[in-house]
Formats: sequence, structure tokens, C-alpha cells
Amino acid sequence: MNFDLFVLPFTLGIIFIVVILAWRYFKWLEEFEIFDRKKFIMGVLSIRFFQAINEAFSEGLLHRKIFRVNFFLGLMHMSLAFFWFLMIVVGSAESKIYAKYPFNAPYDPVFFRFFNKTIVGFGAHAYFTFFMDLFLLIILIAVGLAVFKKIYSKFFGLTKTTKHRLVDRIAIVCLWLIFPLRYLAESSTAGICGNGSFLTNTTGNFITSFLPVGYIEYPLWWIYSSILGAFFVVMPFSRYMHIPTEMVLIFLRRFGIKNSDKIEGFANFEIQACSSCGICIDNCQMANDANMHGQQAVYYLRKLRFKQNFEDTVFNCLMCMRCNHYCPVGIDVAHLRNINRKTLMPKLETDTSFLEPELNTNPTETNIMYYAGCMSHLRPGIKSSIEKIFKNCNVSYSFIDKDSSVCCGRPMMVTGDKTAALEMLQKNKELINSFNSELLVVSCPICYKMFKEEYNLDVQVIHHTEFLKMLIDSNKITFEKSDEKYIYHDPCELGRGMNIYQPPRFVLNKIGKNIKNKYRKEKGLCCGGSLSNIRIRSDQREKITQAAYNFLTERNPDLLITACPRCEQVFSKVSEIPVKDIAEIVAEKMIV
Amino acid sequence: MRQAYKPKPVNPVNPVKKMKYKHMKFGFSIHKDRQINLDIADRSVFHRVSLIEPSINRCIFCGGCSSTCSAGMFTDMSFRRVSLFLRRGMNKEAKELIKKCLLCGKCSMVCPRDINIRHTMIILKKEIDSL
Repeated sequence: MNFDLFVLPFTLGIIFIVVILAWRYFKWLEEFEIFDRKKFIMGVLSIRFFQAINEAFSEGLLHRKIFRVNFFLGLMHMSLAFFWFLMIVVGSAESKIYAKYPFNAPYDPVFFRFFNKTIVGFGAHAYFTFFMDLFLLIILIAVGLAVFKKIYSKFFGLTKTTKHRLVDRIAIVCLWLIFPLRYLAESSTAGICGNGSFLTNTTGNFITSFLPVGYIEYPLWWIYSSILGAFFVVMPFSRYMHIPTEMVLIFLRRFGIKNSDKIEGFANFEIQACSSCGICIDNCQMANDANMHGQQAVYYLRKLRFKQNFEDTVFNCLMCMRCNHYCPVGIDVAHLRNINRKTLMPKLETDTSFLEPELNTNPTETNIMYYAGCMSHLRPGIKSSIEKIFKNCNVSYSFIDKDSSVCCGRPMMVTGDKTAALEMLQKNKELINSFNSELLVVSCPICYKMFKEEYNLDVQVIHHTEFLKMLIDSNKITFEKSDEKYIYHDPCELGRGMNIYQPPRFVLNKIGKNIKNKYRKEKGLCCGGSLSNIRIRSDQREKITQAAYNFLTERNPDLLITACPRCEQVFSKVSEIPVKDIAEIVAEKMIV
Repeated sequence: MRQAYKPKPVNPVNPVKKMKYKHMKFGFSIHKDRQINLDIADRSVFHRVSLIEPSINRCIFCGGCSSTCSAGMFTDMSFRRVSLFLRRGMNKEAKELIKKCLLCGKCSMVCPRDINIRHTMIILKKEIDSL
């Protein structure tokens, strides 16, 4: 058996991390609800397990999502993760084949070159050493890129980077040192015995020419082992905890396990899977345009992880969900924030006894109900356009909140007071159920999301963009196509919130030319008027709106079209071109 | 040149001439005195709120919020009244109104002074017991 004292730091480090990980994962898995545990067991036995392996390979090792952000950023992560993984696999295989014994010590592959200085009668050795050297070279280039990224992050498409804690800095220095030290240690051994390949042999021969390699070889292996051990000790307390946790998270997510309404169990895996890469900071409009720092998803998750005061990061957020979209790990930050809002907000005293929805007094049978929502009542153009379209298409409809509209409850919900929101929900439900219709058309994306997700209505709920598409599909509305250029702004709640991207574009392409811009669909910008942020100041809101408007009108459209009354109102404050709701442009352009 | 103001000489013995209104009765006693003495009024809540959310100081009582208020459709709720009551130290009257707010945010949409009304109402709802 190969043994030397210098293997101890590495071995102790790896024992330490295995114990810590096992203890933590066991604790979090224990917090799972019973149905989640069932899902876990069913998932391991089903085809989802193999799908998860596939995803772990493509996201955890190849980092395809980071490649989409920036090629070099992806290259750096892929080279580090994938080739380190290959190094571990190939190195283990090499040591096991050479020892002709599958259960050798865990440190054997790591210090293989030191313990096997004379490799005799091992046919595949040349191939193994060649590939191990190749992998080492690729990783060294990646480490070089990582150091370069610290100096000049713009090259990697990142204008802002995360401010790291001291532990994270120690961990990253250890990580950077691991591979150069391995390179030096292996090279010095190769300089003495020639057991390396193209990289280590050459370097070994080179340094032998001017250094007393015999004296420095042994200390170098000691340092290498110590740095590895140090990295493993620091890892569970630093951001590098994401390396093992991300893999577990991918499997749990594939098994269909979701967040409950508490920060425990699955949420712990999500929190620890954050790699603090900072891609969310770069895509947060509050950081980019309003110069607000410290509330971004990275900092929120970090504060949750270390149980610091995270109140401001929870409430000072537009909840536009752009970070959700860009997150390379796929953490549902918006959901975690919503959970926290509900737990942090004390019960607000709200007296809803006065709410009496005006129930339908003459139940004439109409097929369609129309609910404008409070925001649309402040943009009367929208509701009158919708009514005009209804009349033009001979649709019999009932305008259910024409005179007295009760708020749908979502603003109260995102503030964190669920009880009061549920009371409003009940009133609206009574109102909707008093009409015997099959279809509910909603103008406001905020109400739409609420109706779809929380109300459990018997009727089908659609947003008016979908309804307009249905009318065009059935040839009830026709247009003469003009050559006006439109830009469509995706409202957060309708786009990322409810995944409605195609219907408005379909409608606009029938009327005129819908031009594309950089921030479309899932990448859509927030208008800055989000109701979810209660703390943002009005001047900060204005900066966000102005920046979003500038991005949207880069290609000089004739009209700015949106599908949310709030977005329309906010943009019309700053806009130089007319801002219209999609219903308004349809009502204007349709052939009567 | 402006001449300095010279007060009229006052009779030191009898400064106010005693007036006698035998046949006139003024209506001051029809209802209780509604004057607000700002030296006595408890404006601590208003100051506390304005420390956390200073934009409440910008209110000009235009009434835009009152005309859009969702709860105002059913009750006498309006942010204008809440703001006015708090500024005058009429906390009890404000308390009843604050409970009725649904936090829908329509008022912030129309406010010409860009007051963060939702945040103000949330702070007030949290502090409602001290009102």
C-alpha cells in the first residue's frame, strides 16, 4: 500500500467534507413532506433518473446555459468543471488498473505519479499520462481565464460582479492554486523519473536544468496536498458548496419536487446551489439602471444561507423574474422571495367587511364575461376598445366589474398578507360565479395571473391578447396590413409570469410590422412600475423606465405596444412615441 | 425711507375697552369647537411614518387618490383623508380608514406627487395598534 505522511491533509479534508455533506443533506431530506419523499423514491426508480443524469451532464458539467450568456464565460466554467471531472474519472481508472485492485485508497489517483515512479509493464500508461496531461493543460488555461476574469470581467460579458466574502476569497485562492501546484509537483517528479507526458515531462526537464529538483519535489507534494485539504475544509462554508448541491438539486427538480410554503427541505438545496456567479446582478434592472445594489438574487440567497438580515432583499425587489430566467442553476428565486414575504410580513389589519360585489341581478345568458381590473379602469382606452371589438364581432358579453371593481387581491398577496387577499378572492369569486358563462376575458395581466393560479375557477380564463388571436383566427376581425413598425413590450406578469409570448406577436404581425429587439420574450424588461416593490423611490423607478424605454425604441418604431395597463401608463410618462395597448391598436385598425 | 412702526399708545389702566353686545348672539356654541391646536395634537405617528417614507410630506391633498380608491367605491376611505388626519394628529379617525385599504395601488398610479402610498399604508397597517 502506498502511504506517505503528506497524504494526510488531503485525506482528512475529504473525510471532513463527506461527513459534512452527508449530515447536511440528510437533515434537509428529513425536512421533506411525505408526498415529496414518495416523489423522491418514485423518481429514483423511473426514467426521470436518467433524464436527470443527462441534465446534470449538460448543465452541471458542460454548463450550456452559461455558454448562452457568454462564450468565454461558458468555456471557462466548462473547462474547469468537465475536465476536472474527467481528470477524476480517468485518474481513478488509471490507478485502479495499475494497482489491479478496484478498492485502492482515495488518495491513490491524486498522488499517482508520486507513488508510481517506475511504471513497468503497464501498457496503457502512455495513453493515460497523455490524457491526464492534456486535461491538466486545459484546466490550467481555464484557471488562467478565471484569473483574467477577476481583472477584466467585461471580456466575459459581465459588467458587474459579486462582492465576495472572506471565506469565498480564501476558497477561490485555494481553487486557483490546486492545479498549478499539481502541475509543478508532477513536473518535478517527471523531471527526476520521466513518468509524465508531453506537458509534465517537458517542464520537468526544463526545471531540472536550473533547479535542485530532488530537494523541492517532496515539499511540493506536501503543499499540493495541504491546499487540496484546505479547499475541502473551506468548501462547505463558502460558495463552492454549489458544486455538489447543484447536482442533487437537478435530480430533485427532475423528480418533480417543488418548494412548499416554508424555507426548509427543498429550499435549502436551492439556496446552497447558488454559485454566486453574478449573472443575476448583471441582468437586474435595479442594479443596472437605478444604481441600487445589495438586493440582487445573489445577495438575497447568500443572506438566507448565512441567516443574516435579509428583509430589504426580500421587499426591495420588482419581482420581474429576470433573475429566474438568467440563473444558470435555474433557482426559482421569485418563489423563495414570495415565501419569505409571507413569513416576514406581520398580519396587516384589513377590514374587508364592506366589500359587497354587485351581484348579477338579471342573469341574461352571455357566453363571455369581461373583467377589466382596477388598473384598466385607469386606462379607459383599453376597456372602451375591448367593448368596441366585442360589439363589432357581435359577441354577447357581460362587463362584470363595470361599476364597482374589487381588487383581485394579487397586490395584497405579493405584499405578503394572504388572509386579506383570500377575502378579496372570495368576493370576486362570488361575482364571477353569479354569471353563468364559460369564458372570462381579463385585461390586466396581474389579475390574469391571480385568476389562473389562485382562484380555481370553473370557467376558462384568458387574457385579451389570447382572445384577440381567437377572433382573428375565426376571421371575425380583419385588417388591412399597414407598413407601420411596432415594438411589443412583454409585461413581466404576462410573459415570464404566464408564458404568453406568441398571441400578441401574432396579432401585431397581422396589423403591421412587429420589429424585434434584443430584450424580447423571456428577456423582456420591466417597465419599472411593478407593484411588488414597496420600497423603491419614484426617481429610481423613473430611471428604470427611461432605460427600458431607450432599449425598446432603439430601432425607431412608430408605436410602442404593450398588453398591460400598468406598463402602458408608466411608459406613456416618458415616451416620445405613442404608447398603446394591443386592444387599442386592434380597435383602431380593424375593418368595421 | 420706510418709517419704523410705532405702536399706538395703550391706556395702561384699561387696555381693552369693555364692549357690551346686548342684542347680538353669535353661533359659536352650536357645535363643539373643531379647531385643531397643533401644539397639543399628537403628530408623533405622522413623524414616525415620514421618517421611514419621506415622500408622504409631498402630499398636496389633490384628491386624485380619493377618486380612484378601490375601497373608496364602497366606503369613505381615501389616502387624502388618511394623510390629512395624520398630519393633524387625528389618529383615531385615521385608524378606521387605514383598516379599509386593500393595497391595490391604484392611488400610486395617479398620484401627481409620486408618493409611495402603498409603502406608507403598509407601515401604517403595521403600526395600527399604536394609533
